[in-house]
Amino acid sequence: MTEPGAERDRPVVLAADDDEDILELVAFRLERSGYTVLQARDGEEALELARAEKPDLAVLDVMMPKLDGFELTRRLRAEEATSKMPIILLTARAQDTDVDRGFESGADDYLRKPFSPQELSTRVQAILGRR
Amino acid sequence: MLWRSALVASFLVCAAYLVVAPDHVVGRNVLYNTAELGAIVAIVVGVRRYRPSAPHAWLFVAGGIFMFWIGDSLWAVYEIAGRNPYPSPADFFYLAGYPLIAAGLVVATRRRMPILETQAPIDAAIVAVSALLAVWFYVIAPTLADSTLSLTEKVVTIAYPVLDVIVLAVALRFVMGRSWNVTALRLLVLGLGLTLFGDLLYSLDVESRLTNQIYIVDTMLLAGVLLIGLAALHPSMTAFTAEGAEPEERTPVRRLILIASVCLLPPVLVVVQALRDKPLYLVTTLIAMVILAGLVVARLTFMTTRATLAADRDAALSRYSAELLRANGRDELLAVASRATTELAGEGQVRLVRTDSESVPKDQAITVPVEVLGGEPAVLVADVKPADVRRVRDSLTTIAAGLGLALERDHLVDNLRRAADALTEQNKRLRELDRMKDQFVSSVSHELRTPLTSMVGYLELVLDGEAGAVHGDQRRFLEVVSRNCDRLNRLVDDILFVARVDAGRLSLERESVDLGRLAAESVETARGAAAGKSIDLRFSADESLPPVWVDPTRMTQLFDNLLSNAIKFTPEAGTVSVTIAREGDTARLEVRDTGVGIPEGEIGSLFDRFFRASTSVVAAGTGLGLSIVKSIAEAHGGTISVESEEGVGTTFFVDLPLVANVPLEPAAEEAPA
Repeated sequence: MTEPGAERDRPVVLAADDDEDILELVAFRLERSGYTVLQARDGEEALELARAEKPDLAVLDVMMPKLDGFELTRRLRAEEATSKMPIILLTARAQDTDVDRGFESGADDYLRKPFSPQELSTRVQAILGRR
Repeated sequence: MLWRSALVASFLVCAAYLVVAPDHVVGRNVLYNTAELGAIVAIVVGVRRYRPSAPHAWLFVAGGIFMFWIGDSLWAVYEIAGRNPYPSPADFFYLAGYPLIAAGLVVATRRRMPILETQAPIDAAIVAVSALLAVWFYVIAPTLADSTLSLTEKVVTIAYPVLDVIVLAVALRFVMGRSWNVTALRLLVLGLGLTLFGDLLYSLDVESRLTNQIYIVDTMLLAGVLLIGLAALHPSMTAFTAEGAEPEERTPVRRLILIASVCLLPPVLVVVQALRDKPLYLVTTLIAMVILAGLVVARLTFMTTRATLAADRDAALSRYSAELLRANGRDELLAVASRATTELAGEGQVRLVRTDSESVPKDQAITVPVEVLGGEPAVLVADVKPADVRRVRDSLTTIAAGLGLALERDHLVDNLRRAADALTEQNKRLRELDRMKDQFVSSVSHELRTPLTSMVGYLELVLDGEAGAVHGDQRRFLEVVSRNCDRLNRLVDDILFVARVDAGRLSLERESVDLGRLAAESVETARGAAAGKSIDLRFSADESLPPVWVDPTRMTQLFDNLLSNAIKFTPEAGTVSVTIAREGDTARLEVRDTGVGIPEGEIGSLFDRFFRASTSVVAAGTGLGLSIVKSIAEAHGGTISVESEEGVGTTFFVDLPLVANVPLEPAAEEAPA
């Protein structure tokens, strides 16, 4: 399902989280909702995948090793190929300043952990349907 | 008493002499000679009574007067016998008196001025040379030219004024060196002055027409001798041979005027001679003027040298002050002072002794300790000629004072620097601790939420039937798990909030807020929960309440907490009313319920963390809600209070200041009220 070019009729979503369980949760929910999900376990992997696959949307955890969600968002926005890709941030922090930082770095939406998988799916759908 | 009696007696003697002298040859001679003896006795009595440090100075003077007495006694014999020989043996005794008096003055001068001084001798010499020239014009030259006189007559005639000039020079040297502002010395100087002046008149009388007034001159001479005797009887007579106060460094202007006038005497003498059609003695005048010029040059050179030395010393001291300011640390300061000491003192052995490494040498002419709080880290010592003692001591005192101050300053700066370093270090550690605490809070938040995310998410998937159908008790039990997951999540939120408050990290993002509308939104959110328990939820807000400067997120949190609390503890079909009104300078929020109430004894602990009232039957909640409400209210400068009656209900009041809520610019805060 993650091979490039395959089933490109289904929208491709990049999911990045260093927690295996959460990554699987996101992937499971979104695949059930009809998306192809690319999985990354840290920020750098996510960046490479985004460059290689040019997914339609990215769901990124904020606190990740190597490259955190804010910085990753900034880099994706800076690159031609991914500059328009919608990004949803998952934040574990309670402070609203984190949300501000997220929007400043260029994210389109954010969800606070713990989040409802259904809610995530609905937001992804909303953004991709809008386009 | 003795001195006063002598003073009165002297007056009477002088008065009697004036009366007796013109008519009674024997009487006046007896009176005069007795008075002279009295003066000699007075000197001997004074010396025995007051014991001056060098009695021979006084005794020389007494010896001089004694010579005068012998001369006067011999002369009395001639006079009574009606003879008038010139010169007579009496003249030789008179002439012997002057050197004795001069010797007394020299001894006294040595005693009073142990330090060699150059100014006074030069000045005295200048006066003496001019006076000698005058004597040449009026006595020596005419006498030498007078062929009617024998050699003996010539020598005696010339000897008188020459000896006068010598005594004058010695007396001036005495007067100019040190202050003679003491009764005995004033009397002595006046006595000598009268004697010399009387002699001058006598010298002039030899050729001229003062014969009628000769007794007045005699009285003057008598008064001079008596004054010398009176001086010896005065208690202050010891000052004659005691070291006097040091003179001023600068030469008084009036002395310079005196020297200049004296130097003008030679040309004046020539002019006067020319007007009188007498010989001009140009060669002698020229010689005198050359000597005078040499003396004046010596005088000026001396003054210039001294001024240069003083300027050098001042410059060196300024340099030293500047170096002291630049130097840091005890060793460097001591090195600077040591260098300045050796440099300043010039000739002689002068150095700085560090008391921590060597012992202070004894028997030094000067020892100046460097004093600082709690010790003497160094001593400046000097072994110099007596003439240099004062100058060197002044310099060393200045150096020592500067060094003492610099050492104390260095000590203070050192302490300050150490204190500042300690504070910086402490500050760094505190910052690090702060950073670690922030890091910890943020990590805990992340670490707690990560497992919660999986729990909540997967639970939802299961309940949504994504993993197969869920039935009956399975669903009910999983819903219990889900509810508790939510509760755990709220607890994490609350604990993190409290941790932030404790860390002083509760940052308010204030903006201008319509408190009524904000409260209305919270009330609307709570309507669902209230309706579930058929609770009548009422709300009213004062329309006139101005906007307040608060953090809307925190205020909503405050409203939500109070509302959920009220609804939680109010039984079915009860009432919860929320009011917002202005009360003076505060906005007052009131949340009133008809709930179970809180026992009076427990109200004090109500805002404590994890406190639960004994009337609380519902165990849901984190136990942190009210403490969070209180923290938010207080962070806004407000207060919270509560009234409650068991079984009747509870009312919470939150008062938020309106005035203090005006946003303050830093500049506005600093401006005076």
